Amino acid sequence: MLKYILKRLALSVLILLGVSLIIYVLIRCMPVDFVTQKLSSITTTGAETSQELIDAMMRTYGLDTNIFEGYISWLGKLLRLDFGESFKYGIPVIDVIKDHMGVSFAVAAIATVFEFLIAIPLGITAATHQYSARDYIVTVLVMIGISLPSFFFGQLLKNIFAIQLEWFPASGLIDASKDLSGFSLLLDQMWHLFIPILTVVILSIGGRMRMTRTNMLEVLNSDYIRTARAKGLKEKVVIYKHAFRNTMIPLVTSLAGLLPGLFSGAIITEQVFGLPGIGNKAFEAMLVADIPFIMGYNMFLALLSVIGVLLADLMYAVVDPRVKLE
Amino acid sequence: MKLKEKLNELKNKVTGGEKDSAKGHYLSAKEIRDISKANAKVMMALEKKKHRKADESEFVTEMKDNKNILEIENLHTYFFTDQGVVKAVNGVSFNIPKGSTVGIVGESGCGKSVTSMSVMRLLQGPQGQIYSGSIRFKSYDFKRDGEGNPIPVFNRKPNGKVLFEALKDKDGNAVLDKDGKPVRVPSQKTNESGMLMYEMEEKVFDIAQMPINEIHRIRGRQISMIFQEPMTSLNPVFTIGNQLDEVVFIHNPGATPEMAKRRSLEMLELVGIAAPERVYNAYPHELSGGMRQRVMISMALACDPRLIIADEPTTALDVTIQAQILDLLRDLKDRINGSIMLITHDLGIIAEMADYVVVMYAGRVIEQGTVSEIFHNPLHPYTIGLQKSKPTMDSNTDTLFNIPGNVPNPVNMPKHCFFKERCSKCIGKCSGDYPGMVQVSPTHYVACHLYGEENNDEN
Repeated sequence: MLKYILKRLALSVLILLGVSLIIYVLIRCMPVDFVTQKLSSITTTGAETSQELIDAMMRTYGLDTNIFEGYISWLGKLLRLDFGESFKYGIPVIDVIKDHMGVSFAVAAIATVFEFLIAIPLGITAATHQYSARDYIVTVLVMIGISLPSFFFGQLLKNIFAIQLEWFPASGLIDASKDLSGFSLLLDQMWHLFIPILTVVILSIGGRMRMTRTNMLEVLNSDYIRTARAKGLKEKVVIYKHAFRNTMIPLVTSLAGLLPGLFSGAIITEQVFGLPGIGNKAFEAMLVADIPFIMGYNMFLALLSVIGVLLADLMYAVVDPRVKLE
Repeated sequence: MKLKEKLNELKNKVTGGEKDSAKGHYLSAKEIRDISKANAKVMMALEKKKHRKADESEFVTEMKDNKNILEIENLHTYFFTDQGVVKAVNGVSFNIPKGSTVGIVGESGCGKSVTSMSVMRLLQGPQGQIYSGSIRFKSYDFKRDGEGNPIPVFNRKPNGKVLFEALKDKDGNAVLDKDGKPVRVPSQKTNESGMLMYEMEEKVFDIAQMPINEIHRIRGRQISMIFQEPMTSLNPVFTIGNQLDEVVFIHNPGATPEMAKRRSLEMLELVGIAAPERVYNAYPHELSGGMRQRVMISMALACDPRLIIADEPTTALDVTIQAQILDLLRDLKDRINGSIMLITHDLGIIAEMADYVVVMYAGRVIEQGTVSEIFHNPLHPYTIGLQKSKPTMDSNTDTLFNIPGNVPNPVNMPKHCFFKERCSKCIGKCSGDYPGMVQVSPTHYVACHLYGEENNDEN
């Protein structure tokens, strides 16, 4: 087992190198760069620019080299664990990620918990009552959830709950009019996160529920479920012991695969609700071609993806006795 | 009562469409919609009946012949599909006498398995439903008190007084009451395999009429089943021990984990597994097919069932293992004094194992009798053909005999004998109604116009 994990981790280094190369090349191939954008915003104010200024700025930001040299120098810094300084935010990339991760993680983690808690029971009842009214109602409702775009549905919920009913704050994370600290601050922040989380949960239930339903139906039609019934087990035991354990196998592994999603931030939802999350920051950095930040952020997600896939494989071996890792 | 009337009315609607059997296989979208609409109503009514709460008096009956353990009478099991009603079992009647092995033979799709599934009430609802008929089973069940709990049998002193013993917790320490005195409880009798004993009573249930939540009294404990596919019939994520113990737990109230484990190991040993302890802790995928089938058999035997249904128990196994499994089944049947309903399409197995044979064709019994009657004096042309198509060691032919033609479409069964199109001995009467059962000897019955009373002179 340990040998397997080590082997996979060694392989991950190669994968990450490949990923970093591709991302770097892609960003450098973008039609605009940070300096051009910055200068164009300066010229609109009427200031004069000279070729020397441009060259000097290019040098400062390390954009005067060709793609390959640029990549090598970025990699060199990375090996010294230096992710560089964000062009846009002017502070180290690591600090930007650290400062804004919390909100995104809170939204994603809480939403994931609720997603599983709601979607799995729904999927099971839909499967055990296949083609009944219950199945159709659940399916139609979750399909509506899948089909709604988050920017629309987020705005809709915001309009209803924050603007019309005024139950929840409309945007942001902190109520500037109050001076809160400690537990009450946390509570207030949770209050601000309620609608964003609700949006994410409703939009994501559908996929998970469909997955549970399909798995459950497949398991319920298998021979060992017939055996379990033939033994004289009550239908509840058949479903919640024999079928559920088998249904959980793909669900548990998909849980491990969610790891990068927990930290990546929900770009659109964060935009809609004005949350200072990592997704929001990454979106802004992307618009101005902030190379160090985009690289740092994406490498962080790539690392999490690699670990997530490894975890998924390990989980497989835990929940399914037939799987042996070597 | 209302439910019943409504059900009958609906039933007539659905199955009334027999007359347009000349219609081709292609149905228009509207026809399919009409069929599924009509089907949905019947299915819902039958499902409602299946899930109803019923008093025991509704499904307690009497056996016609007290020697039998199972009597199936005029059983109809239908599948309601969008193409029409598939009459998988269409009026089947046969009996299983106590202590005997009844073999059921027939080609694939003739309704053998569906008959057994009907007895177990394992049909996949809502499409598969027992439509009518009765399945009378002589059950040997726990006697229950007013609240539905089984009545324990206590150890008694020679003078008839109940023996008391100290109540012990999990670690074997005596449990004390408030005053520090050991708590004393009546000591319950255990049988030779260490299971707690309860008062039992014999009752005849009509399985076809039982609501599905009552079926647990019979399923697994009194009738158990061995399936065709040992490779997929065990749950891959639980150990053999876990799955075996489960059977003991559900059917023996008050069983402790130790009792269950002891019983499971005993069962594994009984079916000839050399290292029961190792198999007990193994997962199904770690065992071979033969071993898994043994585990399935031990699972079926764990509660000393009165009837074992073996649905092609050896089809998925190789020949050497087949022989071992059959020997084992025969040996075990005598040991637990049960009956076997053996479903197979292998006539060799029937000849070896069965006392009585039921030959099925297209959802009906076409011939039944003792094994020697069926093998030495087969009467129905289908049975004769079946025997001829069996490969033998001493024949020198290049091609095997086969019965020409196909089984009629199960949705639109003809009015006449279902075998008419394939039969080589057709007579004029065959175009008439479906032949009734004719008794040719006290135990031998055949459904064929060749043997009708009026035809006796001609033969």
